[in-house]
Amino acid sequence: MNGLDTPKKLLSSIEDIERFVDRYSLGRDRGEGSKHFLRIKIPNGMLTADQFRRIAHLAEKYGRGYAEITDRQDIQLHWIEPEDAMSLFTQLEEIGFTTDKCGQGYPGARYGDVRNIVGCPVAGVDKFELIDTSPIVKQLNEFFTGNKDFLDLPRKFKISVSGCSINCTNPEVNDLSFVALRKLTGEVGFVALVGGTVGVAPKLAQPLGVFIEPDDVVDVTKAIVEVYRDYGSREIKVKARFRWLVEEWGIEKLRRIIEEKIEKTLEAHNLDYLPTSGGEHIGVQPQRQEGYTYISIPIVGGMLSRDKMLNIAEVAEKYASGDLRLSPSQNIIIINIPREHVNSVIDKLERIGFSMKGSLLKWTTIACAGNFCGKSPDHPKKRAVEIVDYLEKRFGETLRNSSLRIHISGCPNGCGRHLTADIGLQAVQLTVEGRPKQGYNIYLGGGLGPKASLGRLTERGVGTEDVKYTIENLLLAYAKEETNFRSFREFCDRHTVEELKFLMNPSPKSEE
Amino acid sequence: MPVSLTKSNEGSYALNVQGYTCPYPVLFTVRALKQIAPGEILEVVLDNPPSCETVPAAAEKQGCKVLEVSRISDKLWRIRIRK
Repeated sequence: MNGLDTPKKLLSSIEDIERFVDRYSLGRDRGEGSKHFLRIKIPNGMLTADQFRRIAHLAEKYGRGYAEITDRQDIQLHWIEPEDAMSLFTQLEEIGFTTDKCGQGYPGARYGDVRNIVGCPVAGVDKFELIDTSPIVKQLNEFFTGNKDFLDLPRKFKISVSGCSINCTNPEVNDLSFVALRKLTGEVGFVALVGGTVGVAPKLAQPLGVFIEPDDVVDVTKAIVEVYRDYGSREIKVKARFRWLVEEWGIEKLRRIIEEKIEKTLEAHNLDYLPTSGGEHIGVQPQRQEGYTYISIPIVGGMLSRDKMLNIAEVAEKYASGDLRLSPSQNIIIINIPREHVNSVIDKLERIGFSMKGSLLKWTTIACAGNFCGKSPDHPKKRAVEIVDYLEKRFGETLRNSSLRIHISGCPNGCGRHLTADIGLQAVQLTVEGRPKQGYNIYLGGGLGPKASLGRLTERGVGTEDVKYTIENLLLAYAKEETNFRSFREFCDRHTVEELKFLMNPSPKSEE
Repeated sequence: MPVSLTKSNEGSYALNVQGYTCPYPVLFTVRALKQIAPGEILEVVLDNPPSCETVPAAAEKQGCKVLEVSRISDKLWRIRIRK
């Protein structure tokens, strides 16, 4: 034999593999012929055009030239072969990124990790931000990446930190989130929310009831993740997310244990509602740096080809500083564009297929990768493109002023956050006259920010081909009641589910 | 739990990859298969269910024969491969 009688001899020959174990992994796909995905964590969504270009080359070589921006500011590739993993991980390490640990395949409540930490994509350049939180996000990311003490949490743990004023990081759906706040005294710090999730047992995060100084955010985060690691339920997977511990303990106990851990009493701060507006950084915006602009490129569903990635990288390098940001609404932002180059960038983007014209739906619509994970009967991202295209054609510029959000999930797990949108769609498998048919359940009136709430299930099993007409009917009714397409949630709140069902009238129409 | 390869019987080896997510069970299995002799048996014990599909597929790509994929407890699986 080859001298393998003792474990030690084998161990000495696998160091090249083991060095990646705590920082890189592949996730499991079951659709489109893909068996594995690679979810590249981009902390705070910040990367250079050169890094973006190199990831495009990885997509070309290992993932059929396709990539997705996720709603946690990751870049996801599919069709990855395990045999290519070592080469991929080596190149990713050179580029400067790691991946999710993807421990969701385990049957028990263990091997959870801290997912990509989400931050405002225009941190540091937003004209109206209260504080640039990207240094905090980077510090947290460095602490948790590959940290063996935090690689066996009961389940995944999602964190967001935001200093902008429009709630772009979706704090209410994270396990732990920090939202910047300016007190009447002028002091800027954070309120924390805990226990949010949009899975099969959805729950919006609750305020921790404290004001946290910027210097304490890292310590408070470490304390809370430790609490989850040590006290979160490991009995059954479905009851293992942090929300269940928050519910079991209550806010007061959680706060007391955190304070014991950080050896500091946190300042009480009651919060009736989040001091935010529930939005997205859209279109062409002035930066806080005089003479500079950022442009958010709308990418419905976050779907990208290798060519589009290379084109975006080229524009960012040719006309701006070469810095890119990924947004939690699956878009890409080019920052640091000198004023004199703004029109050139807009023209160039138009030529490569990204128009700044049309409705805001292109920026606000998100969809999950349900066609790859195998849990969805439909292709949520393609459906998103179809619906947005149809509504733009149908309503034209009248949707330009609407901040309407359409979110699409492929299954009840809600990775497309369908419960937090004005119009949320969740794919379902139907049986019609004994035959399988694909469709969507429709949830209305959800939203984050002030008066955050989950959408109401309003219609079940609308056929996939009819969804766009159903939404069209609803928007026509809405337009009669509201001018300029504002306050969709208020419109929904004014009506009962039965009334909304009637307004949607899901009978198909022929496309003009 | 660190990965380990032990000799269980003459011509038979046990590879324990509990605690490893994809792609590591595949990578360790392929590495171990390269180091045992043709005809010998490798028994892989794992707790990551997706690997019950990917490890056999990788072994077959190496020209090996998958003899058995079985669940040995609530959270453990065993894959027997002949090189």
